[in-house]
Amino acid sequence: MDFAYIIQSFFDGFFSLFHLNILLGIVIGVVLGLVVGLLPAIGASMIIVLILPFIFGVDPIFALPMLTAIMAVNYIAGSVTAILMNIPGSTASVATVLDGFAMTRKGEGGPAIGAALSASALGGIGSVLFAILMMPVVFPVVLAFKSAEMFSIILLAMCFMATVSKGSTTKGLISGCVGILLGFVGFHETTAAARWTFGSIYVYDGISIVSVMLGLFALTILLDMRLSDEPLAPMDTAQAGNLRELWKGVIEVFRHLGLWFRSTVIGYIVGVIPGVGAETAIWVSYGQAKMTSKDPSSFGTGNIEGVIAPESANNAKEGGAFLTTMAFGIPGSVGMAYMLVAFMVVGLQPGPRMITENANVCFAILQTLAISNVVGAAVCFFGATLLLKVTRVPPIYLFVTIMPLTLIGAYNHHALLSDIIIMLIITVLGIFMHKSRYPFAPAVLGYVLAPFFELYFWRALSLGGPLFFLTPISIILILSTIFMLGSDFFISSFKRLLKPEGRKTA
Amino acid sequence: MKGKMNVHCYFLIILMAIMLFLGIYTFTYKDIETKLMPIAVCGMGFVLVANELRKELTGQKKQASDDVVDNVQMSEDGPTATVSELRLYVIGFAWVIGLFLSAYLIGFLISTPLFVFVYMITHGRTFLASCITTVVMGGTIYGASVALQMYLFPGIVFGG
Repeated sequence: MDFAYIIQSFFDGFFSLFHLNILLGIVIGVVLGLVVGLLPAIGASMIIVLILPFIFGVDPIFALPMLTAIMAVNYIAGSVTAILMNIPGSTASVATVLDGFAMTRKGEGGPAIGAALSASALGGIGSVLFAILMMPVVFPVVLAFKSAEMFSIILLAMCFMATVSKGSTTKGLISGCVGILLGFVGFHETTAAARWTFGSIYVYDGISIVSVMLGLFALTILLDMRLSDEPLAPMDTAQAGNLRELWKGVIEVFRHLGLWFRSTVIGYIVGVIPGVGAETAIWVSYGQAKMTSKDPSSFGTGNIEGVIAPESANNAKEGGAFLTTMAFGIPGSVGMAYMLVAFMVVGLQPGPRMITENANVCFAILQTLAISNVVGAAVCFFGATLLLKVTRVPPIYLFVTIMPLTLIGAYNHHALLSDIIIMLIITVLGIFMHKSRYPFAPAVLGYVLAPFFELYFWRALSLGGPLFFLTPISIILILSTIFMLGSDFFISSFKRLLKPEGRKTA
Repeated sequence: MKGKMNVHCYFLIILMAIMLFLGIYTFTYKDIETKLMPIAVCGMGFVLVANELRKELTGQKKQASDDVVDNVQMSEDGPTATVSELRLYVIGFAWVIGLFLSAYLIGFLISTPLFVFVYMITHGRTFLASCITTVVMGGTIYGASVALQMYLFPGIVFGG
């Protein structure tokens, strides 16, 4: 893969964005992302799932920038509610609450918002720059991935997602197994056997991806949301402050460029690691900000460094997560699991082939990420107070507007009522899983990756024999999987070994 | 036995039964390529579910410390659903089934605004608020299904 191809793809991707439809898609994505970012009950993943049925057959260069924009600005909006209302819009804004809301209580809400927005935008841009610079390095790495390595990395990704999702590892693994079993339904590619179809022609092509996504995730969460009729913020509690105050916050970010850079690098690295979410990035960067601060004791009482660090990191994480998702076909985070489905819905197969054959799309996505961060921060900068009104909408309005869309979406895929029936059946499964605290992400990933997992396994077996996994990359990946799955066991064994010594010293 | 049978236990038992059935059924396929992976996953799933059930029944279950799973805020009532909570889900699910049946009988264009209006009126919203939401939703559905696909993106809704 020559350097000229990378440069050409970079510019192809860049210029393809300057089309009215695409720019419109980005703007729609930014607005949607900001609105859902303010509502913890919805979130970017939900909106992506709801949009999926309507992007079948749509040009990826139009559909993906819109979805990318939603993902990009989700955290920006979440920081606004975190700072002004003490309500993090997403789990990635939890660390921002500590110092952001403390600043609001001290009457410094404006500078806190300004700092959060500019740190977010700069963090997003920084991570995209890192991702683009890493492209020439990633190319030879992905080309080294053959069937055995792909099998091993899919195994690692599924186990990663199961173990890092919140809740117990066993529940994550069970959720993954459920997803894989759903993914096995239908024609088997190599033997042409109809697996678990029970004579029904409808499921020969497998269970509809849209029905699974809408049933397992969207409708379940909507029904959960319906149980509460209280708006997120019933009263007009917060004001973002005037532009002058916001600008003070922007200047503070430029006064702490070192902190911004360190946090961005941390966010990017965490994003690259499969399955690790923004929750890790924000706390690691918050910790390093506290350690390197001249006044660590003021953290938690309204130190602006406690806002800049997590906000830079949570947006920087996206660049790394997108790169991992596109290059290896394994999601860099929970949200990326849903983006992975979106890639497949528009006809792209994330993985080595995507980055080598559709490098222009990859660059366009990364560039959209940077543009969306800037546009999203600018919209919040000038219209945060207006956007906050969204938080006063009672959930009943969201339920009556979104719920019909899930049914229409399921029907829209194949124009078959059977898709809706399957969606409703999967919703029942989703309700039980949700109320028993099973994470959905491993199930989604299992469902999406199951056919590829099986395909690569048999291909690697036929090419390399029973010991096909004895390649350097594959061994590292499988050892990582074993270590990750057994980490709890290893840690508890280690503690048990140390216990008698502890007693002696006591 | 320290633990009690709860909704989660019943869910696990159903999962075990499904995995067992699918695992055994898969043996009926001829080719090893068709049956190896499903049997392996069913077997592994069965063991994991059985272990989870054992933990639940013997009271070894740890209360999860976080209230958030998959970036979704969970109920604060505890790790598993209560029967009364599930009853509320059943009521909500009945509305979804109702919309589905009405869409089957009279189509989405009519059933969606009808659903919005009836749902809002029966859930204590004012007549005016219900009417406005109904008109907006009806307009959106009509706009999406007719205007959008005819003028902007042919084929985006219902395949054109």
